[in-house]
Amino acid sequence: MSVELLLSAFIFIFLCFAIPTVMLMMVVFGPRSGGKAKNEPYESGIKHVVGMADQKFSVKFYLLAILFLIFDIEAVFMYPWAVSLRELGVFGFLEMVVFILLLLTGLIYIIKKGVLNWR
Amino acid sequence: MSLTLLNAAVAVFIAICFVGLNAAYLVWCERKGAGFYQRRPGPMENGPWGLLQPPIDGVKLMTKQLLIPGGVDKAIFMVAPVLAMFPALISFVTIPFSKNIVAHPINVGVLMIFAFAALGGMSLLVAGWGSRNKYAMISSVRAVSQTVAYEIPMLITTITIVLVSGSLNLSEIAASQLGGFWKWNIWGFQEAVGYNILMPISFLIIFVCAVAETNRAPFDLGEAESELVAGFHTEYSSMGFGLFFMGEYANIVIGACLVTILFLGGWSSPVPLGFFPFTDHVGWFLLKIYMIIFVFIWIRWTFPRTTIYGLLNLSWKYLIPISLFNLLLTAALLKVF
Amino acid sequence: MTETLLFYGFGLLSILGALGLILFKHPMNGAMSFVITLISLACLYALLSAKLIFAIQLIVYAGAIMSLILFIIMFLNIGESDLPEERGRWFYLAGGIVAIGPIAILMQRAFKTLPPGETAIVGDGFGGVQEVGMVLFTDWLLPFEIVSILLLVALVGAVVLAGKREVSE
Repeated sequence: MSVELLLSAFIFIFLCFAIPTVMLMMVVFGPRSGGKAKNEPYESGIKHVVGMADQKFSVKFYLLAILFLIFDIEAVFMYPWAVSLRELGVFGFLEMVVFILLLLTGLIYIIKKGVLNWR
Repeated sequence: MSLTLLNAAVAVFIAICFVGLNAAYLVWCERKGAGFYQRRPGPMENGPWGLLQPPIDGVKLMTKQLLIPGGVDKAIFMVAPVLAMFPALISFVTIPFSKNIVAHPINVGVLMIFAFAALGGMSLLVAGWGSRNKYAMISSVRAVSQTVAYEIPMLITTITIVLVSGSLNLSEIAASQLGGFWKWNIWGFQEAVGYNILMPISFLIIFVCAVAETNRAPFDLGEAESELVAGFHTEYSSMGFGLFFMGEYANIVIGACLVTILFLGGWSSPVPLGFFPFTDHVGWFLLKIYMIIFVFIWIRWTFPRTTIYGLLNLSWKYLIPISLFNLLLTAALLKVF
Repeated sequence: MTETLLFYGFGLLSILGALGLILFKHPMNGAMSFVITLISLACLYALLSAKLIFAIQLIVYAGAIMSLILFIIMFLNIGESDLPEERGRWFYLAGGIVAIGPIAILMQRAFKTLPPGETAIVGDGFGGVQEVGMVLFTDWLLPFEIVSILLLVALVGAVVLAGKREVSE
């Protein structure tokens, strides 16, 4: 029985049985009561003073998420390279130099463009 | 087949017990440590030195009501703490505690841990959105932009270890550092590479990222209680809160395990002599991870909090370029020598 | 035996997740069921012993792309009033099934003409990180480097699009 099989078996059991069970447990234990004030969001009593919870965020957080996506993909690509570098030799090293330089160009571009300058 | 399944079930059960016990008593350690750093006794009432505090807290958390604020999607509200807890639990099965104590030696173990960490990060956004609470929402956006920012230098810097050890298997990475503390990756003295002066830099980057990934002070902007009540789990009570806490402490243990395996030789004893007690024993591994957790706690109660901008800039402007250059130089050293 | 059971289990889960994605009214519920699909797909890769793809599926899709999608949902901040009414929902659904019917029959015919290949679990090396690395960095080198340029273009595009309003201010 292979390791991947066991791992996916765990994930299946967690997805199908453990997560619903724990979610049920969270509700079953403990008392159940409600009320208008009890069910309000806990915002230190200034719920209606500083606007509702549906405010907009700075677009920079969204940009950071896209940056993360791009850098994440590139970082994951480096793992197969790192494991097989010994076989790939100097040429493999130069490939990654080109790749990382392109990545750094992007990083320098976003820093120059002021994406990371916060006000 | 049924025997392997049984073994697997036992492994998972042990992992759950380990996580639960750790979560409970690390909270105690944290509170006690906080007390000592601030010159007060910490928990004292329940049992000697307050040692019975964790189980009592557990019972209390379980018997309280899970308050669900009005107007939220109940399913999404409830799935968030579970999502915070389970990925951490699954990634425990890939961690080698010693040569023989590992539930499932997956040969891409490093990537597995990052994969499950990525799943756990999502729970913060779900919790923040699901609460319909503006503090929770701000907190979750902060916490997620922080975890994603620090995941990249961590991923990139781990590659330097992969280059040196030539493997993604956590057991093999740890086994390659056996035979004395001078062989641990933190010094960078490997037969294959010669003296690699860059390894301490890698260690520092990974350590900073491990602190930041677990949302701990000085990087706990997501839980800045002076600004954001309690952060993304403001709305959670009883078991929901308990699961978030367990997930948080499980992540701390995993971070410490990762640092130990990658840099501090895993279960290898500092001196490779036969008469040295328990040469290459699981005890060394546990000792090392609790030392690292002690440093985490120490850092948390010593340093003040940074700002969110300083935090994001540290990663994007400094750690990522440094880790990229560090990776290239390590690879060059590996090829040249 | 266990493989087959798990295969069907994950197949069912991924289909259910995909159905949830299109049937749930609120995008957040849809995103959550999409996560189920992503995890199930990752596990299907793991059952094929493609470990690298399993990890990439979780890191990139369930981690990075889902964070992005959740960010977008939070930014757009869709309330109950913004959601479409979908009055003739079941009517459209029935219409869709009727429309897809012929395609399904065609697909079934097409599958039947395929040669009955013997499926076998390939060796342990297949799909491992090192094997993928060797192939990626020797045979598929040019596409790999082009991908990095593509990602760079995406980066520049995102910055330009998001920065538009600030420039005009």
